[in-house]
Amino acid sequence: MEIQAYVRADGRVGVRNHVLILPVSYEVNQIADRIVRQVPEAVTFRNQHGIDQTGADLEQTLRVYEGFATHPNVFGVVILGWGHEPYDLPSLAARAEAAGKQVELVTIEQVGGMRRAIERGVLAAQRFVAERGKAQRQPVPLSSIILGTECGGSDACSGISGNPALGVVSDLLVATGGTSILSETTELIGAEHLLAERAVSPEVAERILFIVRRIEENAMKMGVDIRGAQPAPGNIEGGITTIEEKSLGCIHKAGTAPIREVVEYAERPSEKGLVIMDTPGHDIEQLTGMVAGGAQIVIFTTGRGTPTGCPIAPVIKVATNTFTYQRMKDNIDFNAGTVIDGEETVEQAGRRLFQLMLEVLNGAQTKAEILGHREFGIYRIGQSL
Amino acid sequence: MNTLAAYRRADGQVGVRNHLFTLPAVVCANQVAIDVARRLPRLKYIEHQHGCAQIGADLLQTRRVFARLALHPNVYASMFVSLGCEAVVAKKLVADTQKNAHKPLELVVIQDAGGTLAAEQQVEAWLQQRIQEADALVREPVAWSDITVGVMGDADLAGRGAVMTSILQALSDLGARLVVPARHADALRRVADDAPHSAWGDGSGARAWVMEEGSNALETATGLTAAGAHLIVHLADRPHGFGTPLAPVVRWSINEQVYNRFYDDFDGQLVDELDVPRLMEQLSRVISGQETAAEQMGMDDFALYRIGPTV
Repeated sequence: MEIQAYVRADGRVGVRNHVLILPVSYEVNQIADRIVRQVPEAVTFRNQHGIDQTGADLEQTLRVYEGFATHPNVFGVVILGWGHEPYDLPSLAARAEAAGKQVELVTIEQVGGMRRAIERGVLAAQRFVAERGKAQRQPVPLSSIILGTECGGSDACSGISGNPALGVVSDLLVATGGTSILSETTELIGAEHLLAERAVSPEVAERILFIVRRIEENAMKMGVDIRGAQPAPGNIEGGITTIEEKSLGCIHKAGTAPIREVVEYAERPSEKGLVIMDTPGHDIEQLTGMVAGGAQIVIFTTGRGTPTGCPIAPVIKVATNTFTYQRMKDNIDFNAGTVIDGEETVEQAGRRLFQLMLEVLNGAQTKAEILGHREFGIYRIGQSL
Repeated sequence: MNTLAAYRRADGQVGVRNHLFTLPAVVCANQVAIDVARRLPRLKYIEHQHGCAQIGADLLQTRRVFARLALHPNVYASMFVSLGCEAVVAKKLVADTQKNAHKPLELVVIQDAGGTLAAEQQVEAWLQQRIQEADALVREPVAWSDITVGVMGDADLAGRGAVMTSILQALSDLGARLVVPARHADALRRVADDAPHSAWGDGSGARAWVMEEGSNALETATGLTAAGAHLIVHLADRPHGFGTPLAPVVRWSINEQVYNRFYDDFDGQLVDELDVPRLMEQLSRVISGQETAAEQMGMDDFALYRIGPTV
């Protein structure tokens, strides 16, 4: 099966052709903001990290920057820095160049202040926007796609309609040789034994059990049982009673394929097929991690309704019930509530969702893209968490 | 120096700015604030990645800081925007905040409104009303004793600690309340030896107090704002690209070479103690309405000091 997409110099396949203004620390957030106000074709996000970070926490944050700067959905990137960040910005720029991006590195320190940083960034962004038409969509195999799966604001329908329908999409993609990511470790709690049974090796099975244990222990270090945050108040209002129930519904997103690998937050899978990424349950930190790990598209099921998107990847929003779909039509792309209403089987809804995914991969805009949603958040594992 | 002009609020608070503030209770509500602020440039807002999947002390600190920002003296009225999954929490936060306030406060829930665009309409309609009320207020004479100044410096001020003490002494002599991050506790205690310690972003009944600092300068500036600083003096040995939406940041360079190269990113240069009266004069003008460099550039930013992991 083929789609129309952009083939980058490093061989990776993009489904969008973005010019990204990437602020590597909060010192340059507002400069990024001023640049996209002058060049509205470009995309950016607000970053509250990147300074006074160390160790594994810094490494993880840098993985996110590299994942975004080299992402196949990106044509060109303006890397914006303060100039005193504790890491090597020219090396980040070099890796983006090696991935075939148009790259400009601008730091406040080097150009002599905020105003000049804005000017330089605007010029580079305008140049990239003018040049990006050079990249044209061409036929590529669907197997080049990495799908991020996500559920948020879950309700009692999530495990019956939206998530199993997404599971069908995941299975169809995996069957063509593509990759699907299951994440949000918090919402695997109570279902980890079922996932471990589906692992391709004892090592992968052990890894699944390990990441679940680790997130529970981290919560315990705060003196809190994770059941204090999960299910969230809205989940309970939506009819979910326990974290185990939420988890059993959650893992339906991943379909039935064997689990080939477990990767760290924002790490690129080395295997094709179904993989697990260790992320928190937080929608946006999860989304950011999967996209940094190379997902070109995300399908996000929601019971209560969520408007969120990603600056560089299309996010298809799936309502698990017709009420939420009708109420939040401006934000939601697909209604899986048809399964609850008895109008469609899970398989039928899944195949319809698969078709929508193909259209979006080929360029159709999602609601989140139309509204300009560009949420971003890095999962921190050090101070400030 | 004696002619400070600011806004007196119904509850006795004094504000050096008269902001309308929109505060997303959760990351999913950011876009509503961003879009409305594009249409109403007068609006101040924060954008952040929190409010979901937080637990324990970390969650409590976040709620405390959100409530304190909504009630900040420089704010005329505050709008919370929540998604709805967390609405139980947001409704309680707004109700609890309301108990301590005489400020106009409102909550819009995106899921109840029916999505981003419908929520934006509600937020905008409410704010349009509040803009008219806010613009009817005029500045009145206030005293330094009505003003809380946050003072922070880069690193350890590269051996310029004496200047920090001079500034704190000058502000104390004028009668201002003072809050400083923990790294400047010694300097503050030379001026106020009984200054107590507060958590990050928390206030105090004392005239001068030391606040736990964040993990970076923006978190510290955010914390000083939430603590109640009307404005923040930032002594910097490097250029910076951030301010805060609610409290003006007055940034003076303590490094001559840096100042010469980046002078238009700063509000002034501090060479030695002789410059302190000049800084005090500028602060009185900023209190009375003069914009700082960060305000002129619209460098409003926010960072939350997290003390627990996302789950």
